[in-house]
Amino acid sequence: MVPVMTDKELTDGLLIQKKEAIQCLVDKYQKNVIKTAFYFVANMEDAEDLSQEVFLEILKSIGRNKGNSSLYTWIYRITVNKSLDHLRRQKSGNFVNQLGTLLKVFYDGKNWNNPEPAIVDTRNEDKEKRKLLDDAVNSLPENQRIAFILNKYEELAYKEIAEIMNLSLPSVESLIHRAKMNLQKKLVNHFSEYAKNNKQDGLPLHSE
Amino acid sequence: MQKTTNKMDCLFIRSNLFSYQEKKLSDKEFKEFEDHLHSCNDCSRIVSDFQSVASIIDEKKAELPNPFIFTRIIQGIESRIELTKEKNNPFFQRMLRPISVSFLMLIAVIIGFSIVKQRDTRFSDTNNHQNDIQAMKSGLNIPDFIDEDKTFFDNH
Repeated sequence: MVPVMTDKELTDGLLIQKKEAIQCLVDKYQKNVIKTAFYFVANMEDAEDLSQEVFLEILKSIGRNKGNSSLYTWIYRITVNKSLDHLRRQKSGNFVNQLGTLLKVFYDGKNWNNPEPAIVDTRNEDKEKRKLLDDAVNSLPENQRIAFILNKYEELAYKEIAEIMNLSLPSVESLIHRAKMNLQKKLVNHFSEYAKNNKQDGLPLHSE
Repeated sequence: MQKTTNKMDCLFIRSNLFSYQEKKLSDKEFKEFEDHLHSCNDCSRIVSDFQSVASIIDEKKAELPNPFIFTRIIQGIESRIELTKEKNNPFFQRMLRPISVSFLMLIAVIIGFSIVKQRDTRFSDTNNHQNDIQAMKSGLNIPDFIDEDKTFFDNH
């Protein structure tokens, strides 16, 4: 049975790395941490691995959070930072992967200008939609992306987002508004382009 | 049948997709929005595509982590804490354990050797003693003791 503690008890327990405090921390915040990380990195396994890093970071630097912000806000902040770090690492790793794929294609002698046609089914269509949304969200400026994800996915109030991001309430409102405008623009452009290119084939993204 | 639509309407639709989806338009705006969708195929398709992609947000929200993740996280944290503790130990403390184990093993080996050696020495001393008695016996011409009673009973 995992003990229930107040944030004060939890902080005191974590400072001395008390087993019960660690269990309580993970039990209380694991869902928020994993889901927030998942909304950023778009992969549940990566998010689960990241959550471990987040909790270790909390244990490591709990002494530095001297009541400047609530534990809840502080944990969100660490989760967002860890997720963004992960994405940056992934981005730099992607270049190497792409180079590897290119070399493999070159050595295999396949014609990579005409890849084998993908089998189109509903699952692929869903994947495509997911990718489209993830790409559009990831293309937003960092602050807009954080504010949008915390608001739209994590359903946090503007005030909570302002605390997490260390910004004023109007700044957060403006960030979320601009994020939505940019996303709309990107998605509408994509749909219009797609419609133009596939006038005869129909739109796979268009639900009948 | 495609009705004629004015450009301003299309622009309004395309820049208020989130507001429409989140039901944040006023009643009047909402009605105009819907009326426009009935009259413009392009906007109707875009709204439909947008809603289809935006529904992925709800799908993602519904995804749940591994139910055993709690145990995994706790185990990971505990093993990392142990590792950190070991790393933080001073050098001589980290070395003390293997050195003391090696030292004890060395002592055990030395004790073992000395016991074996002692037994060998005792055995060779006994052998030498027997040889000396035999030499003295042959020097003095003393025959070996024969138990005549035992021999008699053995023969009968």
